[in-house]
Amino acid sequence: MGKGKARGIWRFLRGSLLPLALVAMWWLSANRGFGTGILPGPDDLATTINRLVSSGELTGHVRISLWRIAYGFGIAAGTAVPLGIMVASLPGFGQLLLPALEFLRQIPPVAWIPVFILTLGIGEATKLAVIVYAAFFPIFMNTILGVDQIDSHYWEVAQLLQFSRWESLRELILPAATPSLITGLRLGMSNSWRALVAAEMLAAFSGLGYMIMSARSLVRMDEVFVGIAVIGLLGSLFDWGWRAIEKRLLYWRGT
Amino acid sequence: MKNASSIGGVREISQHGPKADIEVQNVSKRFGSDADGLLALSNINLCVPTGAFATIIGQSGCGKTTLLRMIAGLEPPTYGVVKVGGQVVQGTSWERGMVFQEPRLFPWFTVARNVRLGMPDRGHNQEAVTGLLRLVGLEDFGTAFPRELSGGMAQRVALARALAGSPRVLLLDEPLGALDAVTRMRMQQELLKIWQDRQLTIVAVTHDLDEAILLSTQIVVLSERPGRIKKVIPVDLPYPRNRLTGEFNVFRQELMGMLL
Repeated sequence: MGKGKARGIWRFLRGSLLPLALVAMWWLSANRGFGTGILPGPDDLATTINRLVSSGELTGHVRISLWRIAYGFGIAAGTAVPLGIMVASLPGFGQLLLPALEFLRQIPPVAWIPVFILTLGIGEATKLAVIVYAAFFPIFMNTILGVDQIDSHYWEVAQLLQFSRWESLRELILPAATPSLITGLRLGMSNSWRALVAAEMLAAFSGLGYMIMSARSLVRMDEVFVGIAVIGLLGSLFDWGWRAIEKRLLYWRGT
Repeated sequence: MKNASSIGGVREISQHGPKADIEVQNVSKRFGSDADGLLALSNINLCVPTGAFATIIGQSGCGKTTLLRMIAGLEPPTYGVVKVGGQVVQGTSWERGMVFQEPRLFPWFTVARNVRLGMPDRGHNQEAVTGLLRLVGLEDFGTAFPRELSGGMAQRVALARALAGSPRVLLLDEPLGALDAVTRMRMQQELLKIWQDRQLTIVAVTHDLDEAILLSTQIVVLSERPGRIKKVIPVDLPYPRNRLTGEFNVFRQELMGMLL
């Protein structure tokens, strides 16, 4: 156990090397008059963060972005998982839906923004539509994959044990597809996070993406960088959260 | 209750329980389309009376497993019918339990939950679950996950799960095939005891001639593909049987003569 902990610390240190080196280079270049006034240094960011947090601006934007993600991702997961299971278990249903979905899947969600603005307006609906669109396909495709990959051996056991449809779902399909489901949810969330920022840059008056765009128009590069840093941090945090959930739910697989 | 050594009278036992005769009538099985499909079994006629322990032996690929799967209801015959207790088999049923070559436990559930799922009421009676685990010697492993079990332990859980449905017929597809010699001998004894205590009708596929002679009341010898019944050999030795006796050897010789 002590050994595992030591290895964890080493891994953490090794992982921090490159970011630290980059920050150091950044600091050096910013303070050696390299593009002074346009490119802020890391020390400038600290004061900017301080200012943005105490004024409540940053936390407000973060809160609204997170709210959008929670809402949109929830809708996407709530439709993509059941739909994926249905497509995977009812061949006719899949033949009906898959060609259309395959076409839609290829289009980046941002490309739909003009259409969404025209039809849904500039309000929250447009941003939610982009998030749902971005999160849906990874979740949907991975759900199908997870169900398709269930070993036929288990289906025979389900037959022998007279599983009802509901029992097949609860005792076999969902647990067996969980690894793939979590992969899909994780990808879906990082997809929708990136799409959200793009949507906020194009069609919003709040959120981290909007914060970056308005800072850009005021040539506040320090605020642009703060926005970028926060987006990256939160994205990593989501991913870390999914890994933790995965570890917890898949303890039956061992390490 | 009779103990293991007093079982000479399988037929006596069979009088009490409900009828579970297995009748396989004119059964053929073809995989794929009729024109160029693979004929796995050809015109099988077989009767396994209630309370019997039948083993099916034959070379690999001769359709042993297919025959067992048709009795289980996992596969329909192409021609002919399979009946159990006079009823035509259509699909699986609680009256027929099966243990496969692999344990096929759900790896995401504990041992106890796997056994519970084998019960028609999904194990509302916790004592019954414990009882089954005790029966297979794993009462301390209820909270373990399948990956934590050895091959023999996992196969015993699979047996407990099959017995949890209180079947009258137990179908075994080489369930001891992957086990080491000692574990295998122990499980053969356990199997005999369970067969006798529970008055089961058992059909087991095996490739081990000694195992067939040791366990069964009748040995069904299948020919090479397409599988046909070469011979049904009744084994009338009293239990428990001893591999080292002359009578045992007589059966061994006969089987080897047929298979080699």
